Amino acid sequence: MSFSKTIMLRNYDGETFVVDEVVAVEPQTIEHMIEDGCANTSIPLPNITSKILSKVIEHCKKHVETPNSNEKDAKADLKSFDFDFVKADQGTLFDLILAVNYLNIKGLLDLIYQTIADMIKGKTPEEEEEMRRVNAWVFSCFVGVTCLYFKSKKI
Amino acid sequence: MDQQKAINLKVKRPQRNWLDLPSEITANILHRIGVFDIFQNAQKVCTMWREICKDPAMWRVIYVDASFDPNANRAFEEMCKRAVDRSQGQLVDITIVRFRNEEILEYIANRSRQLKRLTIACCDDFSYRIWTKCLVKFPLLEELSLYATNISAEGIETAGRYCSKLKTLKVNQENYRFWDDCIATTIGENLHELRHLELIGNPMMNEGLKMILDGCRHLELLDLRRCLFIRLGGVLGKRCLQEIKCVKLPNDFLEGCPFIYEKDGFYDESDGHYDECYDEYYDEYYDESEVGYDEESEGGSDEEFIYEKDGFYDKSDGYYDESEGGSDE
Repeated sequence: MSFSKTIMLRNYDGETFVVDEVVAVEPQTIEHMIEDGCANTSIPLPNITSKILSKVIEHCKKHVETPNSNEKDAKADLKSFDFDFVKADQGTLFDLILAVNYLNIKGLLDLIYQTIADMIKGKTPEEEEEMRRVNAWVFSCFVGVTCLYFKSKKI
Repeated sequence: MDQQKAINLKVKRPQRNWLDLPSEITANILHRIGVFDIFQNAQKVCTMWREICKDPAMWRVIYVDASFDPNANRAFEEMCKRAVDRSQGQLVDITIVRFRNEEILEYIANRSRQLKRLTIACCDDFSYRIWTKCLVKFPLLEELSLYATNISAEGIETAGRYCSKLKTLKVNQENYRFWDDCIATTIGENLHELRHLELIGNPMMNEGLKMILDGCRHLELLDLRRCLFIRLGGVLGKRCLQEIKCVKLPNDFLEGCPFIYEKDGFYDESDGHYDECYDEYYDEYYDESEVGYDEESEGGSDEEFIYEKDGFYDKSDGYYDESEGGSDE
């Protein structure tokens, strides 16, 4: 029987997540904290909500548990998992970006950045602006005027 | 009514604004949508995005594929030039695909002394002189990747003389019809510091390969896929496998070779194999007796390395039989 060391993560909502160390060190930020000896009790992650943290842990777990081989099946399985993972509303994606950027998980960051880029690609400036507006609950009038300015200048 | 709804929404939901993303995150995302979309769309959305799109940091890595619209080659050229201008000399990595006018290479060379990676694909209208003219201007170049271009041996020699930091060289092409050791010999004579060398589809014979093994003593990877005129039975093959960590053999799968082997009639992406008819074509027309052997070959088993069939090759005109057909165009 083998014991795997576990790490406690405490988040913005005060909730505690217990994860295996091998999963917890996927985020480089946490890996560095552990190396610096900051993980004796629990690691504080005050700027990440439960919803987002559990999603991140789910992703790290999946990638740690999938064997790192060149097997087509394993790769296809991961790809399918990633594809479903990013099928979230834009608000969740926004929060994920900030959390994953803070945690520094390169693979997941690339995935989310690419997802957003794919949503933007091929849209006109008006469509892109609309996409931002629908999800920006606070819309800046200044931004609107500036867009009109650029449109009129045809830059 | 709508206004009331909007106010209610504002009250209930948390505040999130995509403009609140740190600019380096926005820059990373916008960079991925590609040069065309940045110029046509993203930079017109708002002031902040425009500022990000003008930041030289966004333009350190550039990828422009003119095959998006072959009739708009000129427009892509202009776009590429503007992208290079925005880098303000900080360009480190550029890829250009299917450009017809070699002037673009000169434009890049005159403005990008810090360039470390240069990839050129399917630009076979470039003259021979352009390579020597431009490669002298990339003293910090570490990787030169060429796919289906017509670089000359002199161009390779220039790279050897002026690009002292060059560690990766790829000169990948579709197969030639007759052998030629020039490129291989020039590499062996001039590029002693190479670690990674790809020569997919190269027409070298065993003599050329020997020059590479003798001259590039630090090679860690050597890609010889689709090198149809070498025979690796015997000492030469053993040398390859002993001296180099990773060798890709002429018959190996063609996965991971972009631009040239993905779109022809033979290549089946699902399994990385060429269609059967490709091997038939080769089998029928390749005559071993006409091609240089490895003199030291003991006649050991070549089956694992290369084709060993008879066929006919007309030495008088250097061409395979005209009736080769086989292409699934």
